[in-house]
Amino acid sequence: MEQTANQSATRTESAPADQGRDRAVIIRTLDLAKIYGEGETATHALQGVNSIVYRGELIAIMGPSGSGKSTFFNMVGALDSPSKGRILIDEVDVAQLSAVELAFLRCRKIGYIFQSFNLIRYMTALENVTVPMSFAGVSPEEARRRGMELLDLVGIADRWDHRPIEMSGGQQQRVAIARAMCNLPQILLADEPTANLDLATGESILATLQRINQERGVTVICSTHDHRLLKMCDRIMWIRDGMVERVESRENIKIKVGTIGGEQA
Amino acid sequence: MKLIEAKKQINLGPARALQLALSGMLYRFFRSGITVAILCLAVAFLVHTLMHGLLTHATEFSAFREIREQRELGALVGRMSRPDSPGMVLDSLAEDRSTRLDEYRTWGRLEDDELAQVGETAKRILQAESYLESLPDDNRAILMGDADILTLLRRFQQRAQYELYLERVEQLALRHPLDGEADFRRLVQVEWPRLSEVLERIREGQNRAIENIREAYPGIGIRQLLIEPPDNFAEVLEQVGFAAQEIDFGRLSEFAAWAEDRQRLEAALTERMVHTALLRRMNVGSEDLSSIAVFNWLASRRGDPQWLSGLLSQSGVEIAPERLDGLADYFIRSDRLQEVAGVEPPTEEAGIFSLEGRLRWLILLAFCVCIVGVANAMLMSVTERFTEIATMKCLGALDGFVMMMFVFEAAIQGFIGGLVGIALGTLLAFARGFVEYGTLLTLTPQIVAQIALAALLSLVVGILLAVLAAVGPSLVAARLAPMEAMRVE
Ligand SMILES: Nc1ncnc2c1ncn2[C@@H]1O[C@H](COP(=O)(O)OP(=O)(O)OP(=O)(O)O)[C@@H](O)[C@H]1O
Ligand SMILES: [Mg+2]
Repeated sequence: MEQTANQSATRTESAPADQGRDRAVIIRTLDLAKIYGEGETATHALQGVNSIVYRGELIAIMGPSGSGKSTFFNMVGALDSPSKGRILIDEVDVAQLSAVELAFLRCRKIGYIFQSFNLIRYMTALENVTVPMSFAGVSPEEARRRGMELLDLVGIADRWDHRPIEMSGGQQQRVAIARAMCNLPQILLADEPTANLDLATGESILATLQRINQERGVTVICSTHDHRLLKMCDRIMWIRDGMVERVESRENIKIKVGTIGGEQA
Repeated sequence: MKLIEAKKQINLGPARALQLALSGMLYRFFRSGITVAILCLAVAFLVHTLMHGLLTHATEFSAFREIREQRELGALVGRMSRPDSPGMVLDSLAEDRSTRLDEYRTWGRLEDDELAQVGETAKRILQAESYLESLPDDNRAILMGDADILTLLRRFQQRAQYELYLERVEQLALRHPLDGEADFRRLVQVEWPRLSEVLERIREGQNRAIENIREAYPGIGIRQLLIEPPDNFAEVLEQVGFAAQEIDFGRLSEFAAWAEDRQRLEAALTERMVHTALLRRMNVGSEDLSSIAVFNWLASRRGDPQWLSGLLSQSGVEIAPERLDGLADYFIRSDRLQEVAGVEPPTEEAGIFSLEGRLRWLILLAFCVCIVGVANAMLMSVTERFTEIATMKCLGALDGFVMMMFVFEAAIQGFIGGLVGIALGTLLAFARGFVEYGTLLTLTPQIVAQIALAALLSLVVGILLAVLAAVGPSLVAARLAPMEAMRVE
């Protein structure tokens, strides 16, 4: 097992190496590229990313600021159209989905935690959490009940009646997390979910992510600068300048975390 | 393997869209207030222009009608005092106006075919007249001098005069009226003598009728009769040939009383004592002392009816102070009516689709302003919310639902803005109308209905414009990929 993981970490993830893990692929990107703008000012945010995410794994995406993590999330979450390349979710090309199918995908299959939260300003915390449920056809009472549960889970149940501007960044982030989980998605895309949180809360959020990953088998893709995540994740994908630098499995990096911790201490 | 059974994705109903639109608007109360305010102003402008047009039209029209009525009443007093002028009779004969024709038929003892014949002649005379009037001024002066057509025809009965006319026409190389010289000659030599004889018969008949009225009420002037019409007055009038069935004796008596008092006042004004006293009191020049000047003075703050009444009674004219005030009001109003009716009073009652030229342009302009204002307001209010649309879409909203939300929002804003705008526009239109026309401002049931229609149309226009203007940008936003919409500024 370790051998295979090491091999796959060295370069791109090719099919033969994966089969050893005996896991289904849930997301696959093929030569994914995204260019913002045109001509002189064009930014190549992603330049040919080939990646694979397995069902039920917790994968961390690491990379310096501006390396293209959020862009990658938007593509994988079918929120933006790629300039080039393909995204397959459950082996279905996202580009081929109709508007209704896309809405269905975004609503139930994938949960998003945006880096900038994207809460709806005029709604309370609870209302924000219940919006995706109403799109999924959950009854209002049921949605409120589940919404309160989720807010309780992320530790801000007492704030259910507050609007985003009445909450701190960390509290907003937790509303965003609760919202992302409300329709029991198969995939959770978390873009720096702990960026605005204190150590303790960050820890508990990460623990929550790990729990839903392990207990419910939700595939979690999480970008972060938080090295505590590295202890929990199955694999790490390093991105730099819009390209996959390397992919490592957890067993491989435990040592590294130690060294980094050692250097810092 | 198919990933998605998309039919399970629910397009939430209008109730939820309405609820979201409402709570969104309440949250951005100030911003949506501004949007509503712009909508309101646009609609108010439209409503104001429409309604002011309607009010102006209605007021002018009713002023015109009142003046015409006054003239007719005034004419009636004249017609019961002395025979109608030949010109007037001629006009009536040519016009086939039934009431007058009946009178003339009686007085002239005319048979139907004779009446038709003179009617035909009258028409030909008017035709000849309009031709002669259309000539260049200098030519006309040579041919006619100051004479009107009837004088001319009378003059042409002398052979020499007619020869002279023919000569002049030849000299000036002019065309003859009607179908050439022979035709005109027939009018002059055959038709006119016959018509002239009929006119004379009518005149005599009317004179007899007037005489009969005098005899029926000996010692009472015709004016007095009209001010206080005796019980069987209408019957007596009918008997002597006047068409009395259409006369409103109530209004006639009122009108005659005003006219009578005015005349008494005017007579008194010529008396030396009254004249000098008034000149001093009113502080005007002698040439400015008319009855209407006195009325205006009475209506002003300096006016003193008590004093004037006393002055008049010294010269033997008894008019009570209240009556003087009433006279002033009545005739100032009549004067204003003339002003309001203008040179070319409208000929039909107003409707929002029948307003004439200048107003139509104004309304079109108002409509354009309305469109631009509303489009701008809605564009701003929608682009402002692109992030919200994008977020909704990220969470699985269908395009249709997003659109529905915005249509509702626009409709609500259009509705509120429209209602307030209608109130504001109506208020403005009435205030302006009142300033311009004062108490002459006219509101007939017909015009109220038109105003209500204008209000309703403006409301519909407001809502429709708001919705249409919102649909465009929100459709764009709904069609974009969520993150693209998020990036739109
Ligand atoms: N809308 C946009 N228009 C133009 N360029 C963009 C846009 N969004 C992102 N970029 C550029 O694309 C590159 C990748 O951005 P991205 O947001 O994916 O980085 P990131 O890895 O998420 O960074 P961070 O860790 O700071 O969130 C950056 O250079 C950024 O400037
Ligand atoms: Mg980012």
